[in-house]
Amino acid sequence: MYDVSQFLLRQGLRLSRDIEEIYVLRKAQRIIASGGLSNNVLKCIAVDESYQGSGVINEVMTHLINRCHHLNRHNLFIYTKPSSYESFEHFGFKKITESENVVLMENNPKGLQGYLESLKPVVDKENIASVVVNCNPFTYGHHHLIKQAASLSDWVHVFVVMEDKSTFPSHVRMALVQAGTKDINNISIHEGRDYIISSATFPSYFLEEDKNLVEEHAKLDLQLFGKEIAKHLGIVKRFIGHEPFNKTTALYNQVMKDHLPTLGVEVMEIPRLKKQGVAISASSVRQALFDKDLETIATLVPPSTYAYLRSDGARPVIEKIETSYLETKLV
Amino acid sequence: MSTIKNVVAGTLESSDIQISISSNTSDQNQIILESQVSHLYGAEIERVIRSILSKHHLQGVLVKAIDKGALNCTIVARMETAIYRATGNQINWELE
Repeated sequence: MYDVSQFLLRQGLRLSRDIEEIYVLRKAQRIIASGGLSNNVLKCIAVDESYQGSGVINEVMTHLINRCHHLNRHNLFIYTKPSSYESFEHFGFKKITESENVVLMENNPKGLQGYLESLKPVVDKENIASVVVNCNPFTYGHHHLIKQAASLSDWVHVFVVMEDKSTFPSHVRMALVQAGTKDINNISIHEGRDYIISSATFPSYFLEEDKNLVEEHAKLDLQLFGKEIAKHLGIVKRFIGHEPFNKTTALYNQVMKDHLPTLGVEVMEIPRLKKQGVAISASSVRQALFDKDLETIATLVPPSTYAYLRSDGARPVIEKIETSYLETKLV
Repeated sequence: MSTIKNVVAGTLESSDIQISISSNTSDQNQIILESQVSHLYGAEIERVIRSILSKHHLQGVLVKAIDKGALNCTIVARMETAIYRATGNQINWELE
């Protein structure tokens, strides 16, 4: 792995921590090209200067695309520098968004466009807002945030992060948001899919990464949100919960406040709902699950989430929490 | 019609063409072509692709073709392979 990261450094790239597989082309032991995968994102694609223009990039791209198809990943993304994005257009990738230093491309011709078409705009409404939630799992805190947003707006589009890197699977998180917000009438709930806080738009959100990288990724994610999703749905506000615990989310919120207003979306921060002086968070629910503290759980989550947590379906997830907490304690 | 799997055939190397096949959102066939010579040969490449689709009576298919200067015989071969994979061995190879 050492010579791969050295090779990438020479090309001005770093070996991302989320790379699952990386392939290299060697000539007489020397690495002349590389390409890696992280979920459905192609990364760390580089060719040694003396081999540029010789077609080795075609070999790398063929291999990566075939490998992804073999893994049943068909909608692919490329994360690249603004100076090199054009070379990927010849492989059927199109730019979907960019920030100062990063360009995000996808190879599904109906990807972002298809996603936008699936989001139905509301008509005859003016003050349209949005909320993006992960809900791992859905708590009274999330309910409070969505309810506040709904009471201050004509309509709220709620986006649930679909990346399956959280403790609770995405379809469960989605179902719990739907069940927990039945009392709120002026909202629609959407999947964030690949386009909101996903491993494509925001890879470092799911890793403990350095500040600069998180900031860069946050900008890309927000650029896509502001320029495409908010514009399509006529969203003029994004409500966020104040983040006292998680550094990455706090930084994301900060970048959002600096960045989204320039794209015509006002950011509204709502104080966290508190229980006995402590802000409710999904992580405190997971801690209580680990402690088998049902009484506390009942104060943190609505009946719909509570019923799920007590069901047979939740058992594998709770077991996962128990083992992962034990592992961290052992380290 | 049988279900169409998401498949790929061919490579991105010079003189080849990479064909990806999936089912389309409508019941029409749709071709998306990326080629540096599409201004010269785009219509011909599309014609060859469509002829192979209709030979196999396929409808509602989305074909994405990344052309690297393939000859017609290469396009035919890559299309036949892609269809073979997409439909799971349901090709009648004896068709002319």
